[in-house]
Amino acid sequence: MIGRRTSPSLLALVLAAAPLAAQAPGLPTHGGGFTPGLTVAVTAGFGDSGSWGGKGTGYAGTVSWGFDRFAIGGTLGVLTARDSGNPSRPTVGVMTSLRVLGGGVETPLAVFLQAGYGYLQNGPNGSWRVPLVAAFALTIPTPVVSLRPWLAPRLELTDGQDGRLDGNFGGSAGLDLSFIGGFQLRLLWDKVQAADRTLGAGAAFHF
Amino acid sequence: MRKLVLVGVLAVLGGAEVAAQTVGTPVYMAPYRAFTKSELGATLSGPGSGSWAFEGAYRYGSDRFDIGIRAGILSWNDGTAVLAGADVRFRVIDHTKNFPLDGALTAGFGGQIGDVSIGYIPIGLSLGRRIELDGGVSFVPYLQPVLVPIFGDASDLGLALGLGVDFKISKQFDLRLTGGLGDIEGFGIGFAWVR
Repeated sequence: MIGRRTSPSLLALVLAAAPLAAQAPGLPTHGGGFTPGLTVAVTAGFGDSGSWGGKGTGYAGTVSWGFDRFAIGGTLGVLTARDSGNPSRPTVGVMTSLRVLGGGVETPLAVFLQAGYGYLQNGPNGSWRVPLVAAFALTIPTPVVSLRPWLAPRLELTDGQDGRLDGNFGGSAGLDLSFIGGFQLRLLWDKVQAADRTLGAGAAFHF
Repeated sequence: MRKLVLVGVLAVLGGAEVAAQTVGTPVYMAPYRAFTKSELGATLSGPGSGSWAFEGAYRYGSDRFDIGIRAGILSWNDGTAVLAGADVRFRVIDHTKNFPLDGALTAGFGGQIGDVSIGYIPIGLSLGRRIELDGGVSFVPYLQPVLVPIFGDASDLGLALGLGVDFKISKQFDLRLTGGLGDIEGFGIGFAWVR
């Protein structure tokens, strides 16, 4: 996100950037930006009864590659319903992210525009969503761990009934904790107006 | 927030529609304060269909920090409520060659008191940039994503995106247009007497 540098503080800044992840249905949409290079992440999402994927738990893995200002990632996971007795369903997604402002040493705030596609197998028919995200992420480096709180309002397009396109305001927020060495922990919260909330937690490693 | 409040009110009273940021109304803040010492302002807003709110505010500031108190009244189809709250704004980002926006962290505490009492703790980031025109007129377009813990008769965690433009009409008057998407949606128009 802000280039490869060598000093500890700048390294902390770099490590504070998060991978793209969890754009797949049933998982919170991550809005913490990305890191140049390869990143692998795992995420668990816990949806309530009104959430997009229904009340259940989702698990997914994400692989992303970041360039200087642009990144792309893919997610593959499974969503297990807790309240309907439905079998586990696969969920997939891709997300692209463009760093449009900030993110350097002088400006710890970075602004990203993200767009993605997610698909959830749901019985004989699947359902999809397209999140269009504006993400704001603030990097706070410390000697031990870099903190990266972020907030990401979005427009969520989904396939409605009768082939109608539904658009709802949504958003997510979270905190990324990045440690020296490339390891990262994440906490995520997600909400869409017509689909209530999903909480999430994850871990990532940047190579 | 309108939706959150609506949900709460519907649950408690069975049919009202109300809204708010610091006090439940779609009144958002630019990253700048417009005044040197203080300002006195008023805003009329429409938080939802069949509802309106009128609130007055006083703000005082020093250096990169300012604090405001606000009070007003909210009316919807089936009732009214008193609005009261306080909020702070702390400038944290100055524009540079690489980052063209100024930014401020905002936080507030307030709510509505009436047949239904709901409190709000909005925490947000306001980003914008003042644009100067000829004749001393300037304006500040801005956006303000806000995370809003809600408590009281309705409890939830809300999320909203505020959009607005503050127009500096003269040295003493500001005209402000504000609106929101998400849980604090609606629109508002206000003015402020600055000094």
